[in-house]
Amino acid sequence: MDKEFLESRLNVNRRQFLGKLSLGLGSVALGSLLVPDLFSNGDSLAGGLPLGLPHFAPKAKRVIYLFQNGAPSQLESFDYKPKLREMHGQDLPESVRQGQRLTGMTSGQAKFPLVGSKFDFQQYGKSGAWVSELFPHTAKVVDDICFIKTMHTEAINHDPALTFMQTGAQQGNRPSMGAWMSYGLGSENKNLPSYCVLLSRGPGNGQGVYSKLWTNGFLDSIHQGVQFSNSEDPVLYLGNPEGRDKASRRRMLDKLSELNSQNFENFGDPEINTKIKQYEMAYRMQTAVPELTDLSQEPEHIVRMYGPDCLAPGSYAANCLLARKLSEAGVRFVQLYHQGWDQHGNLVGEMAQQARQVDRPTAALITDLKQRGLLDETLVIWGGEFGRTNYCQGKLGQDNYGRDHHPRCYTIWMAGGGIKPGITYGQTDEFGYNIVENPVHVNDFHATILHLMGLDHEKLTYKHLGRRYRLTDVAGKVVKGIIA
Amino acid sequence: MKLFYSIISNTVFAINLVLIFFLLVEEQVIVPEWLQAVGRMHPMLLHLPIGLLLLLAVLPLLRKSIPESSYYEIQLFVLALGSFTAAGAALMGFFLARESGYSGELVDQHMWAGIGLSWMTYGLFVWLKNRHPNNRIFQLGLLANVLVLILAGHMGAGITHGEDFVWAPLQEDKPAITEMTPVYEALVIPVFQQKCFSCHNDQKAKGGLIMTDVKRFRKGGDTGAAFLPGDHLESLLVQRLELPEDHEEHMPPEGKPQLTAEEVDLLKDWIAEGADMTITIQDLAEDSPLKPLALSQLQAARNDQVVNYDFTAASSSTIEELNIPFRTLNPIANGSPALRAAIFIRETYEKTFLEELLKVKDQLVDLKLDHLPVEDDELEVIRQFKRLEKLNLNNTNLSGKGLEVLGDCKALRSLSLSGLPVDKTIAEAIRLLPKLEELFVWNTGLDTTAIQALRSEFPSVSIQSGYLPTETELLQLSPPVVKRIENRNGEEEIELKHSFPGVVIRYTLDGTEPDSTASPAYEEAILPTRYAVIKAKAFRENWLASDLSTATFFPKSVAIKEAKLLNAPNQKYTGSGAPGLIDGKKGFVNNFQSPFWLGFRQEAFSALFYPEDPNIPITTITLSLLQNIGSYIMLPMAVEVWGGSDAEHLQLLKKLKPELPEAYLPNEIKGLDIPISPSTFACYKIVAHPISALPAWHEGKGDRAWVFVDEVYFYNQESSTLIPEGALTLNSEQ
Repeated sequence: MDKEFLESRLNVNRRQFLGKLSLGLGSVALGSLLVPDLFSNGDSLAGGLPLGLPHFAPKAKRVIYLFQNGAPSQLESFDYKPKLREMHGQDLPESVRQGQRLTGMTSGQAKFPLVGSKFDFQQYGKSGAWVSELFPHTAKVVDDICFIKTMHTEAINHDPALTFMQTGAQQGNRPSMGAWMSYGLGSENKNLPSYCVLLSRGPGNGQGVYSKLWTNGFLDSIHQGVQFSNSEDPVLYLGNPEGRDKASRRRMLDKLSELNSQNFENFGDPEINTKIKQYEMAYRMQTAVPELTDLSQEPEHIVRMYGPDCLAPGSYAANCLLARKLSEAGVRFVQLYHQGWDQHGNLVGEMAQQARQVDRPTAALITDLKQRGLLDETLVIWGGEFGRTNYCQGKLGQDNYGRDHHPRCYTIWMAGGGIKPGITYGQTDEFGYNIVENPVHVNDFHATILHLMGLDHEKLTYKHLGRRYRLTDVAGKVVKGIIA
Repeated sequence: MKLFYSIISNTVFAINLVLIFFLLVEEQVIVPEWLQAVGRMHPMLLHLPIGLLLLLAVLPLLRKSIPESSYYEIQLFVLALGSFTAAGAALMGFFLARESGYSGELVDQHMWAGIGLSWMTYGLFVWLKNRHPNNRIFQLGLLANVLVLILAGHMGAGITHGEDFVWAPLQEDKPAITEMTPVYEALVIPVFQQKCFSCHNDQKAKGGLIMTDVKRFRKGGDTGAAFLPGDHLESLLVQRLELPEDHEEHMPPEGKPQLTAEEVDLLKDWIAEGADMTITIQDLAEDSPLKPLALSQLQAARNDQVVNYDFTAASSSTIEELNIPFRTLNPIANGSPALRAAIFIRETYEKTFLEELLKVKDQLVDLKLDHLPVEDDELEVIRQFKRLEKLNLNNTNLSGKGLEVLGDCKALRSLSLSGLPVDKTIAEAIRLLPKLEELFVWNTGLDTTAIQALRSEFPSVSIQSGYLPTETELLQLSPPVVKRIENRNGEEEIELKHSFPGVVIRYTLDGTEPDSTASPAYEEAILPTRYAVIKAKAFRENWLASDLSTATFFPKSVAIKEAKLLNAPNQKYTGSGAPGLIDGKKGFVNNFQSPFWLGFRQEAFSALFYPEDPNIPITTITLSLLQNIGSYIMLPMAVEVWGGSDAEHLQLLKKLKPELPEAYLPNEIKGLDIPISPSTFACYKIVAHPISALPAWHEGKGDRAWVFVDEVYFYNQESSTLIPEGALTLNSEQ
């Protein structure tokens, strides 16, 4: 019965067959003139462009994103506002706020007393960038940095803002930036994941990070961020079991792949071959990862530069050093999250502690990349998910205060990878509340990063649920002013 | 129908005569305004004759399938409309050409061609209308007509879109910008080209201004000079740009692509600087506002160059074949012939990985070999990559000698030698590299003076020496990591680790702080045989000792057959009952509600334990207890150990009163050791009494405290065997 069905399905007369064939071939041939890669690799098309290669010559090959989770205050770090000190304690003029929304945490406050930074600012470097006394090491590398004072976002609470910053959407169902990068550019070192995630936690008031921030969303799961453990074994279960050496592991894998290959011949399921490849990659990672954690090739003063915390696995400093090593080893996107920047209260004490942990290793990372000739091909990004208010949350104390969430403007900085060094982009008003010049929306930020990596944010698409998606979805403009 | 054809015929003839007349007196014709509007419809109407006349050309395909008479009717009808619209379009075109801004050879040629076409079409129409035979001559006429049509159309398109409109995407790019390119060419012309040239060229000089030719641009247009060198405020060009967009005289006209603010600024700066058309980027004064722009343009050109390589690409099969897990080879961008290669993983590196890349030696521009065991002899391979622009040799096994051979790689722009023992002789290599822009020599054999010397010899090369360890600041080491590992016998061992080479870890097991000289240095895994608190610190020369790492260990107990509770625990904290005391499962320090803790308050903890093999002498019994003073959970006030042949015949072996704390202490799991003289009883009873009245410093002063216990361990070892042999000998390094 089956056979008959098949036969009748194939029962097409010669004339019909040839007629259809010539029409079909003709239209395919015509179509192929316009799509040069049509026959090269069926699965390699993203918006008509082949995957795995930049659309145009990239300025950056890799990204290290030092995410400061919780939103560090721009007013105590890089956005110097002497006016706030002058008007310390006075109410935020309504002409500045203009009825813009507040979080539920301060919307009930009767007064919005302005707070000047407890910390002093000074200008540094040839570029004369303003940096607070909390970041003395960052101050030494300002000439390699581009400060963007005018980032602004749509979300006012941590989770949506963080998700927006990482995936281009406030709901956590889209692929994150690193996953898009892995999808668009592939991996450089096939012995390591192309998107790695490192977590650390500071002493300040923290906010959670969740795996949805490094999700592959609707992209293939190979583009998912791989979270490294913050123990001294960054990748768990890589070691051979007790009593097994490398040779016996190899023999086992060879035998297993033989069996798997037989299985493939019988069933033809391509997933079997994927599985074989994954075993092989894990085997190669057994060699690649120990080289990453090996400090014996590093001179002692590398430890001095990053600070001794870099020897404590799971610390921000250790993650910075590991990030450099991962990036140097060809990992496309290294995402760090450092928690503890949510200073609704006790800002003075907590911010100082947070900055102390972060400042030295961050500056060391810039210096370290630079001295290896890697800074010009590695884009380093430092910043949080939004800014903090210029007025005090809660009671304005003698020596202490707090700041609420402020999505209207915040400061991040970028360095290396095709970014103009030693500049400040954009300007906020003298109250540090609204943007005066050159706003940079989160979508613009994403478009710019993709551009630096050689990707056109409008062409890197993925069709899902009947339409094409982008990291920037339907918005975003490349910020030309910060590109070298 | 006859009437129709005769009207058409006569009208077209009239128009054609008018056209001839206009051609003769062209210069004198003045087009009234209402006719200008008609003229401007030329670009719209012209498509009608194009369509109709082309249709005429393919009409013969119909000839066989319809009757001869019908065919004739169709042909005549189409030809009539064609000649009418062609004449109309030509007339309108003439009116349009009389407007200001249309002059030049191309416009003249287009006019002749258009009028010629109109006449030719008319001729064909008349031929057919008068029933002349549809013969070869007529068909040749049709063909010629189409050719003239194409010619006229092409010239017209050239006027509207610019002469190279169609072929521009196929044409080669202009020569790249270099230091020797005039600023005018590098910065100003590109703006004009995008926003001005389409109306101000030698074919279509709107307002009489021709900007494509330097001389005529200087001369200006109908209203005067376009710019006054040095005075941008008085320059017409700037004034027109700055008028409001809806102003009649604003340039570019409303609806056309406008100049950006940056572009306007650029033009102002250029005029203010003297509107120099010849000065090169190189000669531009340092403080000129155009300098940064010019330099960034230069940089952009350099970046563009990256994709504009003119050498032939390697075959994709070669590229694919050279991609293996340990080596990546890819075009630097989609469609570029230039290749970038990187090899990874030190341990698996083989020389062939590098040698095989010679297959693409003519395409390779970027090579990354850092951290690989690349030896000096392999420089012979590297030198063959003549097109290399970027080479990373950081931390390879190179001796730093003989790098002059890299002089063969004349295109090198960036060379990374960090971590190599290079010395002053590197200068010889740099001398051979004319295009070198960046050199990375951090952590090499070069000291500050040597680097200074290099910098003064090669001012055009940016030499990065990175972080130099000049700081004498004393930094504190991070604490060692304490790991529990299981050895082959299933026993738990303690491993102390520190990732910083050269660190000595010293430790104690007796609760004291480790000392930089007296305490044993860690060498091999420690195997505690009873409860131990390990305290360890890291030490290293020129560094401050680390903070303390502390960890508690409860090794496996002598096997206990059975445990029985004599008093039930508080019903909120029953743990896993009596069996839970000997199952080896520990409670959590910060969660006294975890199901491993048994809590006692009103009644004392009291339980019986039956060893599996009573012949093993027991020397120490250790209670594993929780201390969480804030939650009233403290060590017991007193413990008793009883022993005997069974529960009915027990004798008191030991009574012990732990010291009471004098303040709040951090939460921890504490082992309480109860040493007894070696005993071989079949049954032991252990009693622990909670503190009956909390001390005065505690917030619950006077209340009863809790006792929380999760495990009871029986050991048969003396504490003296705790420390591995040899560990006590002093380390002479420190």
